[in-house]
Amino acid sequence: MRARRVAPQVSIRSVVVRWFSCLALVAMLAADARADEPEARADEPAPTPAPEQPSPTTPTPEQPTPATTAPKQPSPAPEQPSPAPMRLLDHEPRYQTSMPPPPYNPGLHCDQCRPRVKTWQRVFGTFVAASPVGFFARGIGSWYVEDNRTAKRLAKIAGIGLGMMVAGGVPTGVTGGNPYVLIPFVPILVLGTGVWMQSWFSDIFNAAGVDKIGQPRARVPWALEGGLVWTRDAYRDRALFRGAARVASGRLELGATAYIQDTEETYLAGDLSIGVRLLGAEASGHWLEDGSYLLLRGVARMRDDAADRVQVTTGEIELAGRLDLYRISKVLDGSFAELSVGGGMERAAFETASEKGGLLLGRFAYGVYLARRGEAQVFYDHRRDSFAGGIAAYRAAGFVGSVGAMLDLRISGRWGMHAELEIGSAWVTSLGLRYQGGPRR
Amino acid sequence: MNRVLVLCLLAACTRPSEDRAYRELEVGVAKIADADVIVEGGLAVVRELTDHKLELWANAPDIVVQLDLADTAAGEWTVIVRNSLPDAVLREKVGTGYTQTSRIGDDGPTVATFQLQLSSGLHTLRIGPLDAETPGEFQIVAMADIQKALPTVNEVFEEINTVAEPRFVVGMGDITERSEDAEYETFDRQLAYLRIPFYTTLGNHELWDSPDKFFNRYGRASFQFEFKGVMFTFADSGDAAIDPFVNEQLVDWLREARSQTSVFLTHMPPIDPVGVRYGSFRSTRDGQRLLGELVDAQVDLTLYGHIHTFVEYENAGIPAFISGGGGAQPMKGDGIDRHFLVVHFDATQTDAARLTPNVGGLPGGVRKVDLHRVD
Repeated sequence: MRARRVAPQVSIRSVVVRWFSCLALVAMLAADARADEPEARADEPAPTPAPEQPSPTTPTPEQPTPATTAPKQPSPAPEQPSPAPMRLLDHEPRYQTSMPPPPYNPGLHCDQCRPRVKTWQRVFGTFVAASPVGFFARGIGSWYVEDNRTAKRLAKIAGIGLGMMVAGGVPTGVTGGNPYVLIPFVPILVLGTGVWMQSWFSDIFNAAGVDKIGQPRARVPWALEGGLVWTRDAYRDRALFRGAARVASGRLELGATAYIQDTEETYLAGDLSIGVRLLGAEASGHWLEDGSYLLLRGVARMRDDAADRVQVTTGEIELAGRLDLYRISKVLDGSFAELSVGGGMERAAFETASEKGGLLLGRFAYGVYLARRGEAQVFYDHRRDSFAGGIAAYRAAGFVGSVGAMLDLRISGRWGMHAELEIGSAWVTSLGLRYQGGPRR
Repeated sequence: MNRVLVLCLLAACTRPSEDRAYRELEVGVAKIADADVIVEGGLAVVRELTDHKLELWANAPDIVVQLDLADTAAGEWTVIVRNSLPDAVLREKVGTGYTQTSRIGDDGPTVATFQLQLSSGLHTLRIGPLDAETPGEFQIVAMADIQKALPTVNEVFEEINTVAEPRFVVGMGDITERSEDAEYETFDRQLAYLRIPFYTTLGNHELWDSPDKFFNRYGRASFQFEFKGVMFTFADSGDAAIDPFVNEQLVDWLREARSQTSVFLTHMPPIDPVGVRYGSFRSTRDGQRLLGELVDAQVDLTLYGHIHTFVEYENAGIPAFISGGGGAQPMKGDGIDRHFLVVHFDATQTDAARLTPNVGGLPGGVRKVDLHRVD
């Protein structure tokens, strides 16, 4: 007898039709947006060159600081001005803030700030940092590339992470998971693990010596996204259509997402979210000197899964933060770390009964900004109610959540894309095309 | 490094227990040159099949064995059934009736030894108490999570012996800490203190080494048996999930038991009653799917382990008990250490009465569940 594996029941035709319907909708919205903003066309004459309106606080790449690069790189600014930010200021006043947005400048915090070392040192340092030795001996990669200051800082941060892991893990383990110690000790354990892991990735990043990898930019004021999600778990493969919309004004952010699978066994899910940006830049889409933020977010979710004969409603609240790591050391410019923690309540309704339960939300991520294009990150998510569930972690199976990688890119103009792979008890692959507001470049 | 590799492979696999699910189908089947033996439902392990001798470890109170003998194997056979009920007898099916063989020897209350003459051909042997098929009142003991307390679990077993007439013990897994041979041997020795059989599924700690160690000693981890009108269904959730192949069998078993008192046992709770702890299935969605199936099958009682405490609650409206008091490092501050449950059944109820909650809020077929503290 073989296991019953339900084949994907999404016809290619229906997916293609939905996909093109979405594209058509987005294209119409794009046309409307262009009609509203004729001054934002790409064929505008070149804007005012940078030397005439220099940023009061931010040097451009073409205007390096004298202490670092002035003797080696004479300023080409008059010949190659940075046009995009100026055009935004000139022609898109609704995004204007009290200060002019800084131009694209990926070396803002670290322009040749690294110690000069030989290539073999970087290669070997990266290898050692990424090896099991580097996993436990934090900072060894930085030490190999003669950046002792960063090595010490990363070792200290890893120590803090390890301390949090011990502080959270010991009470949880010693009491055998007594409900009265789970909060706050399990979140401390998860976040401490995040700090520990982030310092490891940072050490690898520094040893590799990646220069001017990218610069953060604020979230866009609005975005529409359509895409597909493929899930492969032990029981079935699924392909879902995903649609999302997001809008932000000031410090307030609203979002909505829907998942639909139109087969004999209907799957319908969605969420509504509201977020308040407590710290960090408002959603303008502009280049930022610092992409750090702190966000308080509430989400309401629902899921109607005909195949599993269950309807689930969830309410959750989460505090999420991002720290640009140049704040730890300038050599980490272009990389960032994220931590989030929260909780929620869930109600699952079956045919004749229902079940209520709590959720612990915890997530950590490490990422880098990718030139002008966007960002990439790897992450761990502690929640178990998502598509991915928890990874089959051998002896720790059940307690451990999922891991994943995410890529968010601006393709051209207002078009962007989002790709994500998450591995838990299921493999979840997402691919989405986004049309967004804010600056076009 | 090998462990890292194993972790990576597990991470890449959505069905880490798939091999195990198929492997356990081999339990209860053995063959030598002139004799074949098949235990129906895999409800016993064939520990020895040699010349005119068959030794089984039963994982159910009432088992049926098909023994096919060639001419050279005909003669007097010694059949030893370990982990059997003290009042179990052997009955051989002859035509439409049975011929009964009584036990011989005195190797302990749970070791049933029989000697019988068998001719060549197919023989159907049934080993169990005569009242196994008669619906009625009885009680059992439920426990889980012995782990590091194996050397002292005899104290729990001796306490169980003081309970008035339980028929057998059901285990919800984690009998060992590291799944080592020495631990299994210790457990076998400790079972000698128990006057009734111990039927168990495996837990995550039985997966610290090859699950074959468990299968070869105690049988399948996912199985079902009926006793006096009550259906007991065990499922392997050692990986914090139930493999689809096991689930397929499970759905059939549970649906067959829909019209009678039905008990579901597995190691990990599908959903942790303290949600933020995540001492449950890896995927909440998998847990909810299982609960939906339990609701659909009108299961009367669910018994879990894994969390080293005692919790009485409801999952999807079904009475549920977590009893992880076999001696493993106990939860601190919960006011309870080693313990076990005594579950009282009355399977004489009509279907309507069975579904009507009794005074204690339990379904009619489950009269009551008593908590028995050892410490």
